[in-house]
Amino acid sequence: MNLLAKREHEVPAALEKVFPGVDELVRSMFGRMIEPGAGLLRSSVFDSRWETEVGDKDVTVKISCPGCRNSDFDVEISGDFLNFKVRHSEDKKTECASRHYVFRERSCAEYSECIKLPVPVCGADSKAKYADGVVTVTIPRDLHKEEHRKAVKIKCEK
Amino acid sequence: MSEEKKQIPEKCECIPVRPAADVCEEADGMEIAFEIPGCAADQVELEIKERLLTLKAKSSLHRRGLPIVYKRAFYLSEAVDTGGIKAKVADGVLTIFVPKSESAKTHRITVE
Repeated sequence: MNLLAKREHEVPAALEKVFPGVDELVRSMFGRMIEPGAGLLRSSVFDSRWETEVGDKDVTVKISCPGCRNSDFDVEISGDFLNFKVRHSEDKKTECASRHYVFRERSCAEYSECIKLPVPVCGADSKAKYADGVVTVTIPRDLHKEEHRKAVKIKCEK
Repeated sequence: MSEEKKQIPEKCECIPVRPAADVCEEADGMEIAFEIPGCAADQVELEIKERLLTLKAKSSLHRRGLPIVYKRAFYLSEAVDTGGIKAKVADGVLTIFVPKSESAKTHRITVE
């Protein structure tokens, strides 16, 4: 029995008027994938899952990974790159397989990302924590390396 | 015209994002799970009005310099006991349990 009487009602009603029924048509042909109608103007699969913030002393990288456990993550820093991998545990996959889904959008697939850090860092002193479905990696900046940077002045010739 | 001007900055203050959801049927109800990373329990607003279940949750994450707000809504059928709905947030996943009404439950009858 379907307890969701109608399909979900979406918020941008004005956009639905502009693209009538395009999402439904594509979904009926190809299943759930990128929504070309109003869906294209909402957030999509192309939006990245991570954000970087550079502070005075450290760099903070936040990666959204809801519904995971601490043991699912594999985080390493190699030079100025942050390598991140998340793999859902096998018992969770088994649990998902035995359930009856009316529809399913959340993924339990493996996800990996290689993030180029914007400034030189000391990878050995980095810390990571997982809270509210977000992995926060804090990496201290290598200020000694940054001192060797040389600013190049641009001359303006008349 | 003044109302339109007021509406534009409101829309620009946050990035509305439709969270991914799973709907799973169980023997005594439905379980709806939303992915809302970066949202603590006190940032989640959940309301039911005229059988429309509406979720709004403000995240600590940002996109293009603006805070993310998760928004999504579902219509519930009349076979649902809206008074018994329970919700919890754990590890960035909001799980809502929507119980079936007594008339919608499956009753097994023994043939004598």
